[in-house]
Amino acid sequence: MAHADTQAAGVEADAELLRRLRTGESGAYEALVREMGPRLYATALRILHREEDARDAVQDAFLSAFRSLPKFAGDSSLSTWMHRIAINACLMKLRTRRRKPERSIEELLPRYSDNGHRVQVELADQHGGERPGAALDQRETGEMVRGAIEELPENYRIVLVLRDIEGLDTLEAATVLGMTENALKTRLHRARQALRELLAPRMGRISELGDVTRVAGGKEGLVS
Amino acid sequence: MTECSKQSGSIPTCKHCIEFLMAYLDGELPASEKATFDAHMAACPPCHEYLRSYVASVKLCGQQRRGGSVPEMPEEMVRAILAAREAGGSGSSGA
Repeated sequence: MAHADTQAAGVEADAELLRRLRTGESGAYEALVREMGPRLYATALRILHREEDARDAVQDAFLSAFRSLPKFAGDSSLSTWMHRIAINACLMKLRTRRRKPERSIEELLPRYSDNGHRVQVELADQHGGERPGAALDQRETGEMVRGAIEELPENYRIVLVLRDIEGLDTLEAATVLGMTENALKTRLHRARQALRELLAPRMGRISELGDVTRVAGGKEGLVS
Repeated sequence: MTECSKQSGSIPTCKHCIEFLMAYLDGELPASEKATFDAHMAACPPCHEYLRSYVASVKLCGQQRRGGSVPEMPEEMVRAILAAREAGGSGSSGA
């Protein structure tokens, strides 16, 4: 109930802000930047990692949004619309910057023997953190997961970030990346497998995983 | 280095199960195929463990957004965006 109330209040605040923007009310643009900027900046940092790139992408996103506001039909909420624009700005930034050398995804995928058995070769825990072997708290877990995501090759990392962190659905993610849905699903599965490979040696140290055995699937069920 | 030891008859191999794991979790497999997956998962502890850690990895990703702190947006960034708008700018200027 409280969650529903908060959501309703957010929708109302969005609508009010949109009204102020459309009537050219003084201070409305600043309100938009202050209201949505921090979350868009967080998204940009998750995608781009570098502060300077994230700042540029957020600025580009706002300028693009300001230009497109008259065309905004209101099919989605203002914050969802801004989030998609920011993601596009980040992807533009990614396309223009030089890539760092990265490991092959093949190294991080399961290996099989000739009869289809998986050969288990768990990677060593290379990210022991400040207290190797000890249970990880929430902050340490977050850092460990971020570190593992950063190790993924960029083409895989971006798919994982858009689907499993930023919450885009398969069609949306495929559209912004210019891929088919099937190609996106294949890449996402490989990215998740690679991430699993990196995290598996440290899973036992994460105390907050809860019951991960409840995996009965529905469509897009894993990210909800 | 260990291997799954349970394979037989019409039960799919570990490779088949892992390759179609996402479709399995997303509920996209036909009922008959899902049943054979369920049978494999029940009979193969390494694959069951793989499934658990795969799901846990996805959940940990989701926590990056939901549980992650929202960084403060530097004031100079706010000012740069508003100034660029005033100037009618259309691109980044290295905020």
